This record gives sequence, C-alpha cells and structure tokens, in this order.
Amino acid sequence: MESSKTILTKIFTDYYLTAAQAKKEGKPIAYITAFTPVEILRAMGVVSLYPESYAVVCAASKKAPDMIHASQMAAFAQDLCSYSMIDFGAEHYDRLPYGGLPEPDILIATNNQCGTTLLWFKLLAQKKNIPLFIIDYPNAIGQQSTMKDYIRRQHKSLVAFVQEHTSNTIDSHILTEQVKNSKKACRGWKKVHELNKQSPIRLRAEKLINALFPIVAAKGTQSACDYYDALLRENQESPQTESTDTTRLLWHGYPMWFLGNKFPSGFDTDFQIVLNDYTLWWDLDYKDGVDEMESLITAYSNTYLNWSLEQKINWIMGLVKDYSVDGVICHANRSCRRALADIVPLRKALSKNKIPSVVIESDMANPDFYSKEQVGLRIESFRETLRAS
Amino acid sequence: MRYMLGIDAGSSYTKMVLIDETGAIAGKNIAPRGSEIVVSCRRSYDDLLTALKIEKEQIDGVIATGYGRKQVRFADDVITEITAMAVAGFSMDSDVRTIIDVGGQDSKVVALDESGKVVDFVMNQKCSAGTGKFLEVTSGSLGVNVEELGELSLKADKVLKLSSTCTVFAESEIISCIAAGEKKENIIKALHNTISGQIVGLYYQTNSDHQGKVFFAGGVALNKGMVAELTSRLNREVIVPPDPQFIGAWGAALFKRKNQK
Repeated sequence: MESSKTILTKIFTDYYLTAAQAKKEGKPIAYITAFTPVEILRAMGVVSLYPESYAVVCAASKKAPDMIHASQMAAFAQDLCSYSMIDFGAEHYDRLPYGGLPEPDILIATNNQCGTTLLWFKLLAQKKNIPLFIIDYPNAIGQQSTMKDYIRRQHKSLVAFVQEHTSNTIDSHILTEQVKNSKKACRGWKKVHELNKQSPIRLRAEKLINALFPIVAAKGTQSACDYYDALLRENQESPQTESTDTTRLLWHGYPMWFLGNKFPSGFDTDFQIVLNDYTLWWDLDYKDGVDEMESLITAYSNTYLNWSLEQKINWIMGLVKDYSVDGVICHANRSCRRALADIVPLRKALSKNKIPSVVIESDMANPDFYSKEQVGLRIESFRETLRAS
Repeated sequence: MRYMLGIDAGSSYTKMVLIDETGAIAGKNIAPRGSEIVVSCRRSYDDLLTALKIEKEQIDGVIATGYGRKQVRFADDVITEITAMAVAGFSMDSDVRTIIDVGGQDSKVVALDESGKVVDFVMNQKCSAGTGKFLEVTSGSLGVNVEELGELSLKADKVLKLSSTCTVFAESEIISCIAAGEKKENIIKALHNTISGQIVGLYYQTNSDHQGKVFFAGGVALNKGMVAELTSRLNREVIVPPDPQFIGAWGAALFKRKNQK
C-alpha cells in the first residue's frame, strides 16, 4: 500500500504536469474558482486549474511579495484580495513556481465563496479575451425546489457553454465516477479531522493544512480518495510525542500561507490548534440517493462562505463542542471581507458559551500585513488568559 | 526587607516599580527607552537601587512586561501587559471590570470578571491609529510637547473633525488646518477625539457587560484631554489611577510576588 506522502506527491505532480501536457496536446484548459462543480468539467475532458490554489503555492514559496508588488506596479490597489493580487502580478513576474499556470481557454467562476472572484475572473476574461461562465448559487437553498431547479438549469447551461467552446461532450459515466469519488474524498477528509476529537490529537494543524491540496484540486479523483484513506490509516494510533494535558484551540479562518508552519509560532504541546475550520470548508455536502446533478447542487450551494451568518455560527459552535475546544483564535484576514464579517458575532456567541477568543489581524498570503511581534503578543496574552482561567 | 522588581519595557519609556513584601511600592523610575532596551533597563535598575540604597541581594525576582519584555535578559520571568494590567487594576479596586491602556505602540481594552480574571481583551489594529504614537507624531506637527496636549485641548472653543485615523494622513490634515488658521487648541481636541474614537471602538468590541468601574492606565492617561474625550464618549466615569504610567510595571511585580509565594 502506498503511503499518504507518496500519493500526495503524485497528486501534486500530476496536477502541474497534466496541465503543462494538456497545453501541448491542445486539450481544453479552464481556470476555475475554488467551489466550481469541477466534476462536470472533468466529465467533459476539461483540465481544470485553480488560480487561488496557485496563489497559495506562490505565497508558500515566498514569491507573493514580489508578485503583489508587480501587481501594484500594474495599478492594482494593495487593498484587494491577495490571491487576486498574486494572480494579477503573475504576468509581470518571470520566476513563477512550476513555470506558472498554462493559459486557459475558458473561465468558470462561482459566487458561492465571494464576490471578488467574480470581478477577478471578469477581468481575466477581458484581458485574455476568452469566454467566462458565471454560476449563481443563492445561499441557504434548503430543500426549495425552485432554487434547485434554478441551479440545475445553470449546470445544464455550463455543459452547453463548455461544449460550445471546446466541442467536448459530457460523459455520464465519468460524471458518476467523479461525484462518487468527491463524496468519498470529502468523507475521508472529514474522518481525518475527526481523529483530532481525541486527546492527544493525531494530526497537528500544519499537517492538516498540508493535506488540503487533494480535496481542493483533485476532488473527484480516485487518488484523492486513496490519499485520505492512507492518511486515516497512518494516524489512527496515538502519537507518543503529544500531550493529553493540553489547551485545545480552534483556529477560525484562513491560515497564513507565507509562514513555514502556516500558523504563527507560540503553540506547542500544551497549547495546541486541534482544528482549523477553514480546512473543513471543503467537506462538501454531496447527498446520497439522488442523481449526480442533484448531488452537485447541494454540494456547491451549501459552501461555508455561502451560508447565512446563523448557519456559520451554529456550525462553528458545533465544532467547538465536538472537538472539546477551550479557546478560539479568529484570524481577521484582511483579504477576505466575507469571512471578516463573521468575527464579531462569532466572538459574541463564543462569549455567551464561556469560550474565550482572541482576534489576530493579518492576511492569508501577503506577509506585508503580518506583524510577528503583534501577533505573538496577542497569542501570548491569550495563553496567559486561558491558563489563568 | 525583600523586594520584587517589575519592569515595563514600553516602546517609548522603560518604567520600573519595586515592591516590598506587602506589595506596597518602595520605589519607581521612568526613563526613555533608548536604542538598546537591555542597556537602558540595566541602567535604570542600577539607578533605582542606588537611589533607594537597596542591595541586589535583597531582590527576590525581576519580571518584565511590555513591548520589549523579552529583551530584558536579566529578568527571570515575563508576562504580557494584559495580565499585568489586570493584576494591578484589580489589586487597586476589586470593582474594576474594564482597563483601558493606551501605550506608545498599542492600545488595549481588558475586561475582568468579579474575581479579577481576564475574560476578554481587544487590541488595536496593526497600524498606529489609536495609540500614543499617533499623539506623539501629530503633536510634533503642531510644535507642542506631548505633555502639553491635555491642557491645551481643554481650552478648545470649537469642535473640529479630522477625517483620517491614519497617523500619516492626520498629520497632513493638521498641516492643512494650521494653514487655514485654525487654533492649535481646537486641532488638538480633534486629535483626542479621533484617538478616543478608536479606543471606544475597542471597548465595545470587548465581550463584557460593560458594567463596573473603568480604569484608564498607561502614559496617555496623564493627558486630561484624552480622559475628557473618553468620559464623554463612554458616557461614564473613567478613573485614572495614581501614576497610571507605572501600572504595568507594578502589576508585573505583584504577579511575580503572588506566584512566587
């Protein structure tokens, strides 16, 4: 049986090699936003790439400041989302990781995460002079059949759009396989997280972050399922190095991709992040017992960022309970206005339930908005506060 | 007699408080930070002991807090200002539930429960808006000393509004106001209004029922204009303890004494 590390390396390499090869072979390439129904595109033979995920790679490889600077030189304001700034800067920067993403033929954007991605992709469509398809996912659709029909029609239109621009048709067998694998990968991903309900925890937060890529970029593939199966298998046992006497923390929101461990220093065996809710945003709700298209409707409508405030807070409060969390660190990520809005009401809800919290202001990808000293002081103060209580 | 030393290595000044076995203040001093914190702290330490005729052997422990706490290498313990402020504030008055501290580099609001434990705290954003640095930089544009700001602002006869909370932009607004012939006193009051707005924002972000007494600590609490603005905006009494700039150092020493027993 292959190790999770081996499978992850293959998934990562395949993603970039397949993209480069596809360009050479003339296969259609789409740039898509994080919560696009990629299963449909794969079933139509379209190689789908995530500029947001690539921005993460750039940030983690310390290229972000130069790329953001290049973007500023091209007249984009620093206040914009740093993922988009990295992407805008890429065309003016010549030392891109993996040589950059190959040029796309089509663009697909969804509004189930934020409004910035729509504007970002509209701009890309204008600059590259290529077609863009936008999918509108009304939030909190519940069981409303009209809303489901509305999304179903859009998914059908997506198929027509891709067919028009690539001449590829949809293969229903591949779609079935893709949805089945997505469902399985999401369940595996959730189970991996659930290992940390135990004490001591099985996977440190930085390990979970490093395991995110398959569910983001390879969802729907057998490799992603195999990866989470392997990760689950390898981490069942209690690690000797971890303490059971620990203050259990939930990190709310984005990690800081530019940091080596993706989280600031100041955490150790007795003061640990047991869960980062951001990584569970990719545990999508693929329904059982319905057709593939219906399964995709629920999965992509019910994304975290598309929920109502009440749904978000209830979900996080549930995680706090399930993971026996003692305190919450809220990352006020300057880049993501939609996630920023959650913080004040979340802190109030936590306070009502006697769960202490602290706010750390920074950014997911732009280290210029990160102050090691100030973040360190807040974490240290929070630690003292929790210890005293 | 045995003593405990608390050092608040702030971004502008180093404050030291020596307490005796009962927790009472035996001596204190304050000095500009200097370029090397450990050097200026060591000098202040020696000066304090010399002035009080106390031998180093009588010191049971040294604890540092504040922005430069980790650079005070001769300290045998460190705590954050949040804890230090809470310990000192609650020791002074057990009815205190909120402590506002405006320092040179950051501002903070600390909420306490009825046992003196910190239940929540909120600090300023990454930039210097809402900190003592804002007043320090902008007072320079007006050609007045920071110490004069409070008295001058109380002489204002007009309500001016500065549109920017950014230190750099506020400075250029001040220059525009001066050019337009506006009185210094009115501009200074507007500066206090701006900074207090930031602090009141932090106050309401703190998860607390906002009952109980409000203490205002840190060097900026010596500024009567700031006290007046905060009192007005919060619509409640804002109590300035004696020597508010020493509260952090005193709280640190008290913490050390309590935890050493």
